[in-house]
Amino acid sequence: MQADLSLDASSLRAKYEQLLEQGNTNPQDTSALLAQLRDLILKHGIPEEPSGQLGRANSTSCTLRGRIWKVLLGVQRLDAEYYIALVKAGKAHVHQKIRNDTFRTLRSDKTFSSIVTEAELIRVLNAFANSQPPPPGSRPSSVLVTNTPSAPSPISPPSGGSGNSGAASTPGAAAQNGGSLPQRPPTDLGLPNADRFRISYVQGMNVLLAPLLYVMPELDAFYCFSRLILTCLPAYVQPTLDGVHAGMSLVDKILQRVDPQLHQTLTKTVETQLFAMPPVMTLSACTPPLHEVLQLWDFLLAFGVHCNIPCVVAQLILVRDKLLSNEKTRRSLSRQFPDLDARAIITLAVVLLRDLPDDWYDGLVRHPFAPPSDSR
Amino acid sequence: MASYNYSYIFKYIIIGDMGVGKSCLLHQFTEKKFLPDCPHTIGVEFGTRIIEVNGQKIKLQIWDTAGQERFRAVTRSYYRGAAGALMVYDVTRRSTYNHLSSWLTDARNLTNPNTTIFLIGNKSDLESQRDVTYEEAKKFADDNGLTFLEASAKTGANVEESFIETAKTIFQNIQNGSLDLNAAESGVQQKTQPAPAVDLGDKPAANSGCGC
Repeated sequence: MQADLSLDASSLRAKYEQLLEQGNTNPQDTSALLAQLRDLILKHGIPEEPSGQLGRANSTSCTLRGRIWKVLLGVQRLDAEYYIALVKAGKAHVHQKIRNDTFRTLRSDKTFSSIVTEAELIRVLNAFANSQPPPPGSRPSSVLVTNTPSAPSPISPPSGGSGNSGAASTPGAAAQNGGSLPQRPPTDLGLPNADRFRISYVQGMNVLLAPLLYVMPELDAFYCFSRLILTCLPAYVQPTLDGVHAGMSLVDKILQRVDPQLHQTLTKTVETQLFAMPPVMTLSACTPPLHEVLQLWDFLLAFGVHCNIPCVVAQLILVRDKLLSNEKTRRSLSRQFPDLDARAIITLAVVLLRDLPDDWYDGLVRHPFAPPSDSR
Repeated sequence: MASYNYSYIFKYIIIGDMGVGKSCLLHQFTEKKFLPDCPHTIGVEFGTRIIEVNGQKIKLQIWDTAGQERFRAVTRSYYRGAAGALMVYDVTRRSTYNHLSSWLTDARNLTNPNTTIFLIGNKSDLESQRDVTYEEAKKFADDNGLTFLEASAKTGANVEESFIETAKTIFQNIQNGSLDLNAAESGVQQKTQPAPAVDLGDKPAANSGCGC
């Protein structure tokens, strides 16, 4: 962890703890605290756990990073009953697709597979799919048809940072358990035109879930994941991947603006659509190593997932000499980007962001959640 | 690494359902290694290798596509100008075999009529889990004029053969004139000319059903 020398890991940790504690005791007015939190993340990063590890210690523990991410994502309340009901609802209609991807999720990273089990990935992704209305024309899973009087209602897209988390028990869950769980609160649409999004499982979601499960328990990861998908980047997971396409064209536009020579040479060899899709779609989580992904995500969750776009551009600029001189390097980009160096990327991305014209910046901020028809 | 002197570039695409092993086949062919942890492809990936057919060096330019439906809008744009299409299913999962007709429709509609389509039943090493017999797949291939092999990206069995047989068929089609190198989008480039891609052309598909 590269941090300002004036702050060692333990005093940095103490600062974060203090901020989190202040937020917990005074939840009504967190905007100033959030600003401090973001500032601390940008300047110092988040320290590793006292054990020296980055991942969670066991399946029920949450790292400091996990707790900070929950704050940044606005996850304030966890409803275990609701999650259990979604898991009990069984295999989602996309279960086979999920299974096809979970076993190969970051499996090349040994520390990841030692901490996160495939079962956890499968459960969270199925529970998330069960929380969404099935796509028109698809047959609901047999489990839902035969065993559940009424399927769990969709998680309402959570509201933007206000007190109530969108997650709560559902009438379906109550019926299934035969108990009298509280009714889900009236739908609180935290994102514009939420009804215009159709969300189900798409390849790449497994990669987006992976870093969350690495630093926090399954239940917390489910809520953070729902929040990430539903409020931060719903446009990325549309059937036509509109948001991803918008993101890729922004990578193309920004690169062309800041480094026309690199843009020209690179795109003569490989189209932007070819090399930019994986890092855009997965918020760079597909690029090793995982410990650098975590630091990059600290930045993305603190300042907005749209910041991944200048981060992708920054990664290209950081290896520009190699890209300019070596066609093989250019071609290999489509398979994998060079290993992440989070600090260098963030430093450069911040400069790129600063120099962006206002209208570009506006489009950049909106592209991950712009409803389908306005996203291009 | 040094052999940049090839006579032709053939463009291939690899298509098929998610999880059938498209990227593993590509990796086995280009790197001669099996990647058990091969992550799923997002969008399109790319690999190359130079092979020799009838004494001619040919560079294969292979586009590996994501199998999930959502990516089809992206992956379809890479069908154009393919000289060869490797259509892959998983012998241990019948659903991937049942979807072949839809992949075939895509391939036929979006590529040149003379594009060589090669059917691969992957994961042939998992005999005990077999869900699709060789015979029925062979019949499907014959009925549709495809060349067919069962292969294993894991052991490497028949991987070379699949890529190279496809190249031989394409090469034959060039030699017998059924593949018109002057037409657009043939998926073949002759090295001496900078870029005039060659069309598998408007002529009737003379190459169907050839090969092994």
